[in-house]
Amino acid sequence: MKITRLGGRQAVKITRREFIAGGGALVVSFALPAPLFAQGLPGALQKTPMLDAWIRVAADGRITVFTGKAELGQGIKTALLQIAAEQLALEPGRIELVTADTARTPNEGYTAGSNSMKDSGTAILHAAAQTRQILVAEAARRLGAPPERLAAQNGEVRAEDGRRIGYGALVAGQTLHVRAEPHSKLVDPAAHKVIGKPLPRVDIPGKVTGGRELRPGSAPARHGPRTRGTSAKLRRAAEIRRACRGRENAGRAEDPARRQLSRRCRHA
Amino acid sequence: MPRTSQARCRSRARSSRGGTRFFLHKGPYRPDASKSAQWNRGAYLAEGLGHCGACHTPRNLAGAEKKREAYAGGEAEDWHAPALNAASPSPVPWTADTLHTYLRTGIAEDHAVTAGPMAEVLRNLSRAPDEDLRAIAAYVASLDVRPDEARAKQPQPREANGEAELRGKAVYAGACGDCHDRGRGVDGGALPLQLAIGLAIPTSSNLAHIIHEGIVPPDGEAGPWMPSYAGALTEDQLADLLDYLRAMAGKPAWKDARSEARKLVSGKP
Amino acid sequence: MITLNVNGRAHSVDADPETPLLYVLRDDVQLNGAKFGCGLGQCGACTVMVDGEAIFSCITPISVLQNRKITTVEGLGTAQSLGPMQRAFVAEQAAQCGYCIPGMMMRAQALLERRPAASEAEIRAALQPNLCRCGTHMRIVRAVVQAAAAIKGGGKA
Repeated sequence: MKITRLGGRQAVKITRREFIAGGGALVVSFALPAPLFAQGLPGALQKTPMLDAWIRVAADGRITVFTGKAELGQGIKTALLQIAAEQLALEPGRIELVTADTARTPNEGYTAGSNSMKDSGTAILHAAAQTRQILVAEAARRLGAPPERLAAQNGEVRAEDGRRIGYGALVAGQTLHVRAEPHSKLVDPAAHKVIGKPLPRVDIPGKVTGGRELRPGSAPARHGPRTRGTSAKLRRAAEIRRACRGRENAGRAEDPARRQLSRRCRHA
Repeated sequence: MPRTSQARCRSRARSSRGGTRFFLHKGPYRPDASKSAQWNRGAYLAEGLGHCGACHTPRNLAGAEKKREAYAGGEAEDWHAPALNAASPSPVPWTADTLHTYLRTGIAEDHAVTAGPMAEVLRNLSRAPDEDLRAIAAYVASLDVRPDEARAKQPQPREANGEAELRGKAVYAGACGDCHDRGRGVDGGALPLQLAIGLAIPTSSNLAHIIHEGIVPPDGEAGPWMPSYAGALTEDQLADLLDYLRAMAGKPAWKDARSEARKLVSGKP
Repeated sequence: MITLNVNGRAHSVDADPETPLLYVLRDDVQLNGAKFGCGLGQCGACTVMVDGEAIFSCITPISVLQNRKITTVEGLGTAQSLGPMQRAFVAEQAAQCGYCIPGMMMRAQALLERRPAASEAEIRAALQPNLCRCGTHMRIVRAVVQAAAAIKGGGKA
């Protein structure tokens, strides 16, 4: 088990071996301090409890938010962005939202059943809020000021006397590989600047200019599943179609190549 | 009989008032005792209320139907109404059964889907009682008096020859073949065109309309759909395609393919 | 080799003349706006303009398109410089999944270029060949109405 400190929170790395050696969930919950057991976490944090699975702050201050859900035109790419932006006290345009990438995003199962905001949205709501809390706590430590007198705004934490530290500098060198807590200090809904306000859908400009807002290779081929092909492949497909058109050719062609083409007619 | 087809007949009659005065046959329908009750019912409906001859019978200069060429083919609203008698060009001869299905649904096996003015007629006829449709079908089927052996003879497709037909063949391969070569009953399939009456009638007009305008159900209704090629095919490309399709029917070239294509694509006479 | 004029640029394409334009646009010219929805001319997702008229690119072979002016949604403007039709669709947020949208826009563009004063009823009738499964129809109509006003007013929204 490896423990580091970041903003006063314990970041714990448990290896799989340690977990299994613990003999099961119940044993682990007795053996380890309570916050380390992912019980009662809101939304999809329950399944993916580490904060940095959802929010990354780069040393240069760039913020990336991850969701396992897919934008299908239901607008979640924009809505999740609003949630993250509100809780991180950032303009939405300063956040990159990564959706449904098996290499990079939490596994949130299907995007279906109107569950995205309930599960992913809730996770991001709390992960972003807790990330902000961690950044403010770290700023409090460095500035020697109580966290309640600090304000997170536009990518930095400011003290009343004007001293400020950017998010990137606050995280520099450290990861947010900490487990989420069950409760977060959410932005007061009365003070919402982004949540509940209209934000133009971020995917629409790409969709009206023929850009890549849709999944790569999103057009299935006409004759069976095929990703982007070449005209050479289409020529071959056209040859097969032509051979299949004259059904009397099937099986009776002299030329073995044509016979082979005819055999493929059953599948054309 | 629904109102709309009556209105169409009335407007035709109005446009040839002189003909009406001289050529109108007055009096009640006189049944033919040698025929069945169903046939007579069909004759009564077709000759009277349905007035099928108004489109399907050629007219004289006074605008009256030529009685001696009943059902030898006519025209309606720039479409050709094919012959229903022994001159029927239908590649697959009609039977009372297939006619009944066609009148009821607008489509029958091995026959083209309805289009043009007939499509509107059938939208109304589909609401008529089924026994009336069976009666009309029985009557109309009887008009083609050819013996079965004569009806079965089908012209063979001839090879495309000449540059226009060869160009048309290339257009067909890229624009039509993918659906029409599949045949009906498969996803995306459409009637193999050798079976389509539009290729067999004396004028390219119907086919030109169908290719240029597509087959589109009325707003909000379900129905067979063929995409329109307006905008995709130039006047020359449409004419070439018409020429090739005529070769597919095994018939001599149409004389009006170029002019029909020009009329539809360019809007010029 | 066939030369196609797409959005004002000539493209030399090594494809079978029977190849539907849709495939050439996506695979050879790398313009992915036009979409494959059915391949049968039944859904309109592939709609582009040829010589100002809307066509189904999935059933139009490139052999008939030489020396003709092809316009795709990419020809209506760019992300940095949206055209009036695109601006209207963004303003009305007229897209959900977006799959039907380029086809809708091209069909609408063809209508408005021919008939700038098209009424809403004419717009609806013109868009009949284009299907939308998400139910964005009302926004699409509003967007086209807005685009009509913009185009009539000289292209400035």
